[in-house]
Amino acid sequence: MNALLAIARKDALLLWRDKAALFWILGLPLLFASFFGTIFSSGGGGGSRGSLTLQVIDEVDHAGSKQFVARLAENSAVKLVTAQSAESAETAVRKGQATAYIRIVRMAEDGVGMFSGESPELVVGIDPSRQAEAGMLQGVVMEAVFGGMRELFTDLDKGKELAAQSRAKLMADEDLPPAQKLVLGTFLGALEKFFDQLPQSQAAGDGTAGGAARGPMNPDVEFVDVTRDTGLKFSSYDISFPQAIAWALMSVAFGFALSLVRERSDGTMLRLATAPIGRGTVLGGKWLACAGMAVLVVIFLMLVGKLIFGIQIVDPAALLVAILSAATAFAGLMMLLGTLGKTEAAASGAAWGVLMPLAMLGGGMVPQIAMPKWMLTAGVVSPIRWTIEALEGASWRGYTWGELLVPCAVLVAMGLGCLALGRLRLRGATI
Amino acid sequence: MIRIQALHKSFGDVHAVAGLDLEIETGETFGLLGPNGAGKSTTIGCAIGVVEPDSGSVSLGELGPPTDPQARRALGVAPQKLALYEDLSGEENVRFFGQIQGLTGARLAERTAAVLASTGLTDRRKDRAKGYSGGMQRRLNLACALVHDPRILFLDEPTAGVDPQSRNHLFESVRAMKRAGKTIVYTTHYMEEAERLCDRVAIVDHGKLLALGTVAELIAAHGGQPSLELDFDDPVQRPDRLPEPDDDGVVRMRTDDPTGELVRLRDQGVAFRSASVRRPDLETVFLNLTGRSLRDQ
Repeated sequence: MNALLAIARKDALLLWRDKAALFWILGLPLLFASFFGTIFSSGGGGGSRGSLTLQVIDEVDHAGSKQFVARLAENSAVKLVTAQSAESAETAVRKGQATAYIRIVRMAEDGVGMFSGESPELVVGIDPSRQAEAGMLQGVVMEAVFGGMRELFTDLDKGKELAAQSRAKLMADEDLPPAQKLVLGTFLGALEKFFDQLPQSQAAGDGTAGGAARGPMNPDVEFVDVTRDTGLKFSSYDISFPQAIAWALMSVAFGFALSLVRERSDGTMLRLATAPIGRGTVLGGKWLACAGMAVLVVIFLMLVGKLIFGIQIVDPAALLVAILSAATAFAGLMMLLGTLGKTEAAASGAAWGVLMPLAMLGGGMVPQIAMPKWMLTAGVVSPIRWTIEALEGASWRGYTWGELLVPCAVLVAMGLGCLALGRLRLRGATI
Repeated sequence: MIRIQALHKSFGDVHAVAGLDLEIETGETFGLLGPNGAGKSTTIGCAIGVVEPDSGSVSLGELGPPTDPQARRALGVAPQKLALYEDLSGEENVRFFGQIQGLTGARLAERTAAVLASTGLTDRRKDRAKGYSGGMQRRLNLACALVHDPRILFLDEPTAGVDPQSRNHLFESVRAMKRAGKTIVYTTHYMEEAERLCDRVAIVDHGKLLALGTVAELIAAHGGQPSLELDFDDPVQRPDRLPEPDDDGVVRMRTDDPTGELVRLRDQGVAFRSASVRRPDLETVFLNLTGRSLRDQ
């Protein structure tokens, strides 16, 4: 045990004194987490969702189009900017200064056109790289369009007025066939009576005049973040820190793997091999140092995240289990990486050749939401993917112990598998 | 006693060691010499238990095979490559290798201080090894091999690339270890080191033992005749019975009695500028046995 601890302490000390390695293990992940956390938090103000910038070109410019724009502006999901022209709006979208533009080509003067048959014509242009927001934008626009009908049926005086105006226009129309004029006139007259007889409180739904009635014409769209209700608001740093920690763990594994290769090429392994300790103790000491360093690095980064960037740690005990599982996985991976080359250069190239695909598939480079399905499926082989899930689950997603068991068990299994494979490969290696 | 019997080891088609037999006595300083690729390192690898022989055996006397933990406690190895951690200080290096040998507490502190002193590194013990000169790193390499006070030492090219002062210090250290009764296996390419330090020398090539004995025995058996070297003002004017001069203009005569030959030449009135007698040494033996062709691997 004395020898095991001595080897672990020596390896940890050597890594601590290697300033370049420390930068990759601590400096870069901190930069990564703070940089991406800041980028994705812009405009969020601690909330979870930013707004879409929408350039508006009102080519109609009358009361109805102004009502439509006002309804759009009520939605907090969009930030409206009045464009000077269609060309300038298109340029702004193309340059990424706006998410989309909306051109109002036709709009009924009453903002609805229900009785006039004048349907709105809108052109929405969106940045092709923002397809994720396109669906959301469509919903926002449709809500604003149907919002006019909602007003019609909730403001009875306005509804009655519109019905009266439409009936007057109908009667004055000399081109309309008499039979059709009779049918439509009867319908609009009945509608006026209907508005007269309908109690104001019933129309308003909850008794508040002009309030938000519920029904198919009045969709109540609310955007919510799908996490367990922990009573906490998570920030973009809660997402960027687990990703950055995955990079730190990769760097720890990489650094120790190279030190294993260096021991073999420099001759220190030969001296260790002639000592009265087994090869298992030598490799175990290195594993212990790697796992211990991984735990310390993750705890340090989580503390920095908590104290400086305010990331959430819902369950410290669960987080500790997640950290230990991730450390087991990456220490095992280190042992396998250390067998991939006989020289530092060869091992370094081979190790990055393994780590980079794992990072790509596991969501270390590209967020998983932006990945095609096959990549998401392939990502299950990556400890990065499970590390991120375990850390997020224990920190802000509020996983139950049962839910946390899956990623943690996968990480431990991966670590032990890699450790066994690495030991097997080293067994036949010449020191 | 270290006993190596019928040792064979091949790497692919290369027979690194081909039936080697050696016996090294307890307390002896034994030189293992051979050109590059002769099989010295593989032999030592088998002797210290890090290379598994294809056949044959190695025994460290009553301690058993070198893979036995008890035998390993008696082994100290100073590899040719500097087996040091450059980012640890000299003291940290020695302490670490002492710990993996099982030393703890006061004994570890005492041995660490002792070997640092004996290798002349006490003053620089807190400095990182990467700041040491080549000679200091060699001395630290030796200190790490000595920290657990082993009975058997394998020193592989311990003076490679060091300055004369460090080299002399290392010689003194080896002599001190010999006086302390340790068994030392010493490999080197410097023949004068083997002559000065070793009780017996083995010369190996192509994995086989070519010669074994004391330096005097080897010279007597394989050194050949002494040579009388004559330097003439004009070698063309030399007597006809003398051989052709070598490329450097010196006439070399192989003879069992160089002094008598010199007197006879003087009596005959042969005029030469200077004369010297060159007796065979271990290098002569080595070259006679292993040839003069270059060994690049």
